[in-house]
Formats: sequence, C-alpha cells, structure tokens
Amino acid sequence: MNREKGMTTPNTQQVIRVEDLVIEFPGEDAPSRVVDGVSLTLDRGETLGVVGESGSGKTMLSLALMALVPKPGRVQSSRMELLGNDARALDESQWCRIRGRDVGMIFQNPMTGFNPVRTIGRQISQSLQRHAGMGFNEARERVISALRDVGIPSPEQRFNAYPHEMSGGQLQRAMIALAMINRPAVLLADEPTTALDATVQAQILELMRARVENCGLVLVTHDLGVAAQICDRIMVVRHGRIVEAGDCAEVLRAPQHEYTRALLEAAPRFTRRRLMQAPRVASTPPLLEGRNLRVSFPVGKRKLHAVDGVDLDIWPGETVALVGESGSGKSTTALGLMGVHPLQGGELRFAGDDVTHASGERLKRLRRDLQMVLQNPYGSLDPRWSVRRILTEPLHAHGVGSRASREARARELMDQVQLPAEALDRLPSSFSGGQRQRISIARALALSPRILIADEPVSALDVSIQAQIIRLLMDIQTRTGVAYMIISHDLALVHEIADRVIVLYLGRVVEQGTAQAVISAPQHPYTAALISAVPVVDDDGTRTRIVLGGEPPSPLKPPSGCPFHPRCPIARERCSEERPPLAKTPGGSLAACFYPGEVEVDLRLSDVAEA
Amino acid sequence: MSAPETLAIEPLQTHGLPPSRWSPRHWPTGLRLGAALGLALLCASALLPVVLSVDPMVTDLGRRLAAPGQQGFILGSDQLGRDILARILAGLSWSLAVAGTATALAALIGVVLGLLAADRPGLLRTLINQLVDMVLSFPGLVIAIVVIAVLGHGFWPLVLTLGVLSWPVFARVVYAEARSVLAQDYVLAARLLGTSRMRVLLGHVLPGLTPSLMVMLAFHFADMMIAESALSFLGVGAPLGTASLGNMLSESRQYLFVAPYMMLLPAAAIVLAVVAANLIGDGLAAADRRGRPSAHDGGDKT
Repeated sequence: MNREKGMTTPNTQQVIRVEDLVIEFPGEDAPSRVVDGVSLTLDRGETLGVVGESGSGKTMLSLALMALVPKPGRVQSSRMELLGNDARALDESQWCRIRGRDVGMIFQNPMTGFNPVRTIGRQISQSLQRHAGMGFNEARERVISALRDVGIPSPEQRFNAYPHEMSGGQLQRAMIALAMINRPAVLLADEPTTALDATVQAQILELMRARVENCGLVLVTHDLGVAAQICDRIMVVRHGRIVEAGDCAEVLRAPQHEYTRALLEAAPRFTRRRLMQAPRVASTPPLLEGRNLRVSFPVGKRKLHAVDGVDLDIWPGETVALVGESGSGKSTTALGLMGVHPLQGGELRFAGDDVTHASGERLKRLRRDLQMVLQNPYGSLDPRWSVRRILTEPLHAHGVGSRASREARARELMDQVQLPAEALDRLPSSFSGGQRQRISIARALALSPRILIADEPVSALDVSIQAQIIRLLMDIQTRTGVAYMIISHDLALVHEIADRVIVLYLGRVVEQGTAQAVISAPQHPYTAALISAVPVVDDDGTRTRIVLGGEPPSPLKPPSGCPFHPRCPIARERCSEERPPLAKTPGGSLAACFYPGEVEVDLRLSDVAEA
Repeated sequence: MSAPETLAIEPLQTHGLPPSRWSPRHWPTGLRLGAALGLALLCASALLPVVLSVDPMVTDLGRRLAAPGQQGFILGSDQLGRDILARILAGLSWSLAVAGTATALAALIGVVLGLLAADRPGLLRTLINQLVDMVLSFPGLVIAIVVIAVLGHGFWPLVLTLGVLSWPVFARVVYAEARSVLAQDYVLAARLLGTSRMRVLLGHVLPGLTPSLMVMLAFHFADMMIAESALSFLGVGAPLGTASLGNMLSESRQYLFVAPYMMLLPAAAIVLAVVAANLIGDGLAAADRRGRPSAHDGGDKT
C-alpha cells in the first residue's frame, strides 16, 4: 500500500514500542498521574491484553497510543514508536492520517460509536475514501465484503442501514469492520464486549480472534475471563502502573503479584459452589406464586408479548435466578411482579393473597414485602439527595417510625452494607459504582422485605467489585433470611449463588430446575449455549464452546414451532413445526425441548476451590 | 492468608459533599456583576427616594425642562418640571414590581401545568399541551388592550396580562425536562419503594428542574421588564401620569430634540435592569453547567 511520507512501511515485526509512558492531569494540589511509567511492545499478529479495574488508567493508556488524551492531560515518554517511527514528533494533521489507517479503534459502546444520522455503509466507506483515496463505488464494494467478513447477514442491504436499525452486536461487528477496513497495523479495542450479552460477547471475541492475523491487537478490559479467551500476552495495570506482565497462560496459571491473584480469584469460573443446603422447597407453600403470567405492550396495532405465560415460585429464604439474553423478558417479568407493568394475564399470589391486579394501598403494602434493586447504580440514586435522605425515603413513603428511629435505621442499614455511617451526609457522586450499589441495596432493605428482586445487580461493576457485592448479598441473606430473585445473564455467578434457576427465552420459560442440575447438566440447548458463553479464566483454548449464531428474534414475530429452533445447533424438522412443552426430564429439571440433554457443556470445573 | 487488597472497600471520593455550587464563592464573574448591578438598582429604587425625599409627582412649571445638574435637579426635570431622578427611581420600582410579580405568576402556572402534563399521560396531557399552543398563538398586544379596556389601568391588570400570556414558556420547558427526569432510574426506584406521585414530583422532579428554572426566571424577568415598558409606552400599561419608565419614554417623544436626556435616562435605566437580569441568567446557566457532575463521575461501564 502506498504510505504517505512520515510513515514508512515497517520492516520490523514490531508495531508499537513505548517506554516510560507517563500521563498526567493537573490536579488541585499536585498533578495526578493516571499512567505512570508504562512500557510496552506489540508485534504483528499478537494480542496484548491490558487488564485493570475502573480508574486503573487502562483507557488513557490506549488513548495515548492514538494521541487522543483529552485536553489538560500531558503525555510524556522516553520512547514512543509506531511502526518503527517516532510517534512523539507527529503533529495533529499527521495523526489524522494515521488514525483509522494505521491504527484502528473499537470502542466500548457501539451505540454511540456511529453517527446516528448517516448510514453504516457511508461511515465505513468514508474512511476508505479519505485514507485510501478510493471512489465511492469502489469503496462500497470493499465495505460490503468487509461487512460480510465480520458476519453481518445480507451486507448489501445493511450497507444502507442507519445505526438505530441494527442491534448492539451487529453494530459492534460493523465497528470492527470499520476499524479493520484500512488493514491497520494496530487495532485498539477498549472493552469491546462489555456492553454486550454473554452470547454476543462470545461471537465478537471469536470474530476478533479470527480477524487479527496481520495486525497487533491491544485489548483493554476489566475482565480476565475475556482476556484469557484471546490474548497472547497480558499486562495487569493498577493505579497507572504495571503490576504484572507476561505470557497470558503463564500469568493466569501462576500469577506472581497478589493483585493479579485477587483479580483472578474474582474472575468468572464454574468452581465454587455454595454449601449444599437442605432443599427449602416443597415443605412449605411458596411465598410468591406466579401462574401463567403475561405482560404485553402495544406496538402499533400489534401486541408485543414480552412475558408470555411464565410460571414462577419463590420460597422463603431461597435464591432464584432468572437468566436469559437481553430481550428475553427477565426485567419485564420482574417489573410485572412489582406491579410497574400491569399483568395482562395469569395469577400472582403473595403469601396466599391474590395480588394480580393490586393497586393503590394494596400495592403499596405489597411493596413492604417485595423490593427491588435496579441494575445501574449510577442512575438509580437521585444525584441531589444525600445518602441519609435516600435511605429514609422508603420509611417516609410508608410513614414508618419517628425522626430518631429513621436515623437509627439509616445507620443500621449503612452498617449492614459495610459503609461508614459518617457518609450519610454525602451525595451519591462521592461513591464508586460498587458503593452506590451498596446504598441501593440498603435502600431496598430499609423496609425489611421478605423478597428482594435484584435486576443484574453487578453487571455494571468491575469484576472484583462484583465479588464483593455478591458476598454482601449472601451475608444479608444469611442474617435476615430474605429470599432473592436474581436476574442475570452470567451463568457462572448464578451457579455460585442460586438454589434454583429459571431460563427465559422470548418471554417463555425454556428450562427450570435446581442450579446444580441446570448448570452441570443443562437439558435445553439454549441453556447449554448460555453456560458455554461465559468466558472462564481456566480456558486454555481447548474448551469446547457452543457459539450461538445470530441474536434473539423479535418477539413481535416469533418463529414457528420451538422459538429457539433458528439458532439451535440440534434443531430438526419437528422443531420448526411444533412447540415443545415444558416437561420433566430424567435429571429432574423441566425443559421445553424435544431432545433434552443432547448438547453437553464443558464447564472447566476446577477442583481447587472445592476444598 | 490476608484478605486480598482489592477486596478492601474503596475510599470515598473527596468531592460530592452537599452542594455548595450556588454559594457566592463559586459564582462566575458575569453572575457577580449581574447580581451586584441588580442589587444596586433594587437598593436605589427602594432607598434613594427616602434619602432624597423628592416627590416624583410634584410639578413645577417654572423649572421645566432643566438639563441634568441645573436648577437643583441632579438628572434634570421633565416638561412639567418633575424631578427625573425621582421619577426614574419610582418608575424602576414600579417596573421591577410588575416584572417580578408577572414572572412569579407565569412560573407558578407554568410549573404546575408542565409537571401535571409530564406526569399524567392521556387526556390531561393533551389538554394542557393544546392550551399551551392556544395561548402561544394569542396576539399579546391585542389581549393586553382588551384586558386594560375591561379591567382598567393598574398594577394587577398589567401583572395578570403579562403573567397569563407568558406562562407557556415555563410550561414547555418544565414539561420537557420533567419528562426526562421521570424517565430516570431513580424515579423508577422511588416508585418501587412505594413513594407517592406527589412526593416523586416534589422530591425528585422539581429539584431536578431548579437549575433550569432559575435561569428561566432571570431571562423571563428581563422579558417582562421590556414588555412592561413597551405596554406603558403604548399607553396600555401603567396608568397615565404614574412614574413608570415606559410612560417617561412615551412623554419624552415630543421633547426629543429639546431635552434628549428625558428619553436617554429612563432608557438607560431599562437597559441596566435588563442587562442585570440577563447577566444573572447567563451566570446561573454557566454555574449550573460547571457544577454538573463531570463525565468522569460515572464509571467506565454502561
């Protein structure tokens, strides 16, 4: 390819060489160093994982490689070479020619990475037209073939699609196509799969692994499991410094630094099982009993059945997990139980009382026993309210207690979620994501509910923080005997904490049973695929994986027969004609499949933690 | 083994103490200037007449059309020999009172209807939004003339006219912003806790609107000042003879070439008051932008 002056065709394998990189931001007293003395190299065809928690400086590090560190930030290094040239000497106009041509970038959120008012095809071809000087027609050809390469179906039509017409997974594929279109020597990917479902994450990782042959990939992530999937080397960063670097398999097998060990400890894997408890089911009647629950929304003249006949029981003190991809109706089910979305059908009983159409005072009374924690700790606390006011809001709403007793309750709740009571006067902005989720949990516990629904309580948090929050939830359950319904797409987490699992697909239950049975021997191929999509750290590349094709179909036009059959690896003719009922399987769990138990999963259960 | 260090709970961040961003220490320069100017005008209109003890209504035909500084008038006298300084101060307090009350009235109607429209989808929302469109399409001046014709000149007819014609501005903004606040997770969380609608609106939504409301109040006040002067200038505002800035402008027309200060001085007073209000509005908007939690505040996920 014809390179402009300033960048010669590299004759080395090495595409990046950085020594002693320092990034500073002016602070109130002293400048704060977000990256402090990091050195790294990257070869062609190699994948380097930069692993760290929020605030470790990993994103700044990747921005520095494209000279995109935002304004008051200062970047210094003793050496910074890109394709064998000194990158420090480049000015902004030269960088403009390099970005997108020699260095491609994949961002975390594909939804905001594209301009919403221009078609995908146009935005990708623009990069070709600008950097390679192609005409529109020639560029169009190339873009269509690139879209095909990243697995976007019917790329000729998708070329003219606007970003809002595509799903998150498709957009992330398009983003990869855009980043790769000029065959860059370096590809930077900042949390490329964090915003995606586990099943789609598995697809995207697979794709990235396949597409990097001729360039170097820097993968920035907080999830060691993701890094373990595709990286050759990893670099663990903390507070802007490298704490450990080396061969990926080596580091994961024998981490030297304590911090790496802690991260590894927190990473998803199917090992630790809770102590088997005596089954709490059957002996008593369920606390919450849902039969054939339905929630639908009008879409134009049609109805979208988000929850389509779900049976669901919660016994006192147990943990039920509701799992499925986004769009499977998990959250809608929860909001249906909470009375936010009215139930259009079925029957809901709480402690024997019919609460199907509860409203007004009855609904309010139900909420003293049935509470919910929302997914996003950044959005669910009013930024203008002090923690004290947040924690006492439910008490005020239900007219509980006196001023003094409410204050005492707030302190007690802070203690329960292990936050200092002195922090009661602070605003949510002084807390980290994990701390905010603690406050959110404390607020939901204020009325001492008997059931707590938690909608993806940890998915917005760093992996290491996730472990803390989960431990907290378990502690609280042990102390108060509250029952949980945990909504999650993370099967490793579910395996660790749940007593029973309910798997939803397109608003219907496809499998249900004890966590032990469902996860170690899934009967439905969809469950097997969800389990297989979890990026476990113990994966040395030999783990057999079931990567689902495509994404869930629209519930507006569900497929005929078994709704899962278009994506099912074992679908046969019968599956497209007849809908399988939820039936008892030999293992004891219920599954809606004609051929239960045919797909097996490789959990990579490691025995270490069993002791 | 000791607990891994990552599992220690992170320290609290130092920012995020209860807000002090409205305290004068953090005010932008424009806001300081505007506040100082506004305060000065307010004090002058309230205190100076007491100090000067000159009646703005007393005529003295023997000393008419005196230039500023002559015949004992600091800022001159008008065609009837009334003290211009005293009239400007009296006119200023009249204008400030009319504009302030009209703004408060418009804000009250607008906030209540805007919140209701945002909170109650369906018939009520449609009705309110239709009403907003209807009022916006009224020709303001014609309405003002009709109201004055029916109710007569005076403080309250003027305030009512201005307030009732201008509330849709507030309703529109409050409606749009309240809807976006109502869509926030913390409002859903409040509903899940069992918080009543009224508590949600007053506790979560209204405080969320405060910054925009303060900015709007300041700009609206400036608009009302100008509208009041314009109506008085046209003879449908302040009662004839009342010391009002608009009336003074109106009277000065015939003496424009003989005594230009009769026009320039009240005009300058209007300009100063409007500039003060606008500076305050701009300053509040800037303080609000600066005080908003920065992008760093959210984690790097979602």
